[in-house]
Amino acid sequence: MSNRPQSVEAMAAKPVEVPAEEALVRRARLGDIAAFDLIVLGRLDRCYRLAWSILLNDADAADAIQDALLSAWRQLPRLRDPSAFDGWLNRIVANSARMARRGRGRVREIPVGSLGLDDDETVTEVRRDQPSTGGSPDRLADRDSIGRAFDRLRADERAILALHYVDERPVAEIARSLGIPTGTAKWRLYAARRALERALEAEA
Amino acid sequence: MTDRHLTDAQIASALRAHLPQTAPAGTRRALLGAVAVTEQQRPMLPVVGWLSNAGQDRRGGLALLLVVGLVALLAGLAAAGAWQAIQPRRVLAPQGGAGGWIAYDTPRRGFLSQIHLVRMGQPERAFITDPVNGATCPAFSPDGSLLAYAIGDEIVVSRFASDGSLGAEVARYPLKFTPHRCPVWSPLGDALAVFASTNRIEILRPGGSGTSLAIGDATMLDAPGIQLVWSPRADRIAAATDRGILIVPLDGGASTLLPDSTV
Repeated sequence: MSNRPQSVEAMAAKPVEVPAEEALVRRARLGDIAAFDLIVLGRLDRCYRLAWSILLNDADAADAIQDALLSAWRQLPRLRDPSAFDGWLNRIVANSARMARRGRGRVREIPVGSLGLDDDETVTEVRRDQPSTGGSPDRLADRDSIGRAFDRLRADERAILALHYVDERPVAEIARSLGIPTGTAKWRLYAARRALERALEAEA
Repeated sequence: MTDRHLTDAQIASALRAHLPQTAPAGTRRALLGAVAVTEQQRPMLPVVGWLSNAGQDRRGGLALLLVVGLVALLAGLAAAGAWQAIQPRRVLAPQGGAGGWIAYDTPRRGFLSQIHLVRMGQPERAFITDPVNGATCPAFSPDGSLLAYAIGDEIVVSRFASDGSLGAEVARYPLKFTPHRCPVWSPLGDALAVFASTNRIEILRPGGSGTSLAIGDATMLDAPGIQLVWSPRADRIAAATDRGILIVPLDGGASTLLPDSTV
């Protein structure tokens, strides 16, 4: 039976001395699920964002992460360098999201909250409700335009932009995450950025 | 065409606003528990203790070989079983609508349900989602132009176009709604019946005043998984309960129980 604690989140919230990350990875490699959950806890949002950037909807992202976590747990004994865990986990998540994406066609997400009452307008586009983050209307409109342009990019372009601009991961780690050489990662990042600018121009 | 040039700060700011910063709380809990739940269902390997003694005598080599073989066999069986332990999405309440669309929902413990819209032979699909409560129980009206569904404790009726787009809401009814007791359209498409958690059948009329009529017998309609069926003339509703079939007239008359004679 597993010795997993009742609430990993509660455990992580306690102001106790947190073991070094690499030590946790080593414990997880020996079969300690609690250690694995602790490692994952701090990375879950980032993994979710990466999967979401590829799949563009919550449910598929959650499915992809579930598959990825189980796969990571099973493959963990084969990870030679614990310090490479982040890039290695990102790679599993990205692969899982790509696999999920292959098995489906085009997807539109219809958030219920966006539908007006007694209004004959028809919802025809993908929209995602976001909390207001402040700023002038022009700047918010710019952000919306960039967001829509982002959604039109290819999945690999979205993933590399999310890793670089939102998660601020170094290029070497992005390369490990996507399973490509560092030079290729640099070129793809540049190409993805240019694609975003072109998509934004088309949006305008 | 001249491309618009963006600064790093512009891209970072826009993508931070566009992409989810955190996984939904329910999803976080489900994901963190997923590995542990799955692994707990794997069979234990009782032969591990032998390994420390295996090399101490001349029979150790043979014992080790047997142990390794047994471990490999059990691990293979365990892996096959463990994959099944991941709770898959279940397809519930499939319903056909305009343009060949089929709607269904996928309840799963720890995850928000969402309504899926698919078409045979077409690559396109769509979701109806609610980030807080999820969306369940899709029901197309008989002519396929309206789609009723449940959001949390509300029944929502929206227009539905044959291209798969969801239009404006026609009606929204707050109920004490029990998930997966889904609304059922009348044969004429002018009313919905839904079993409410207050032991009542609610009749909802999207094209009318929007009021609801409470009917039923509290002692009869207490069974889980109750099913409602309209009569062809939409003047009665049959409710399948654990005590039999309850016939409920819509004119306010007395209900009739047809007992299950096999019990």
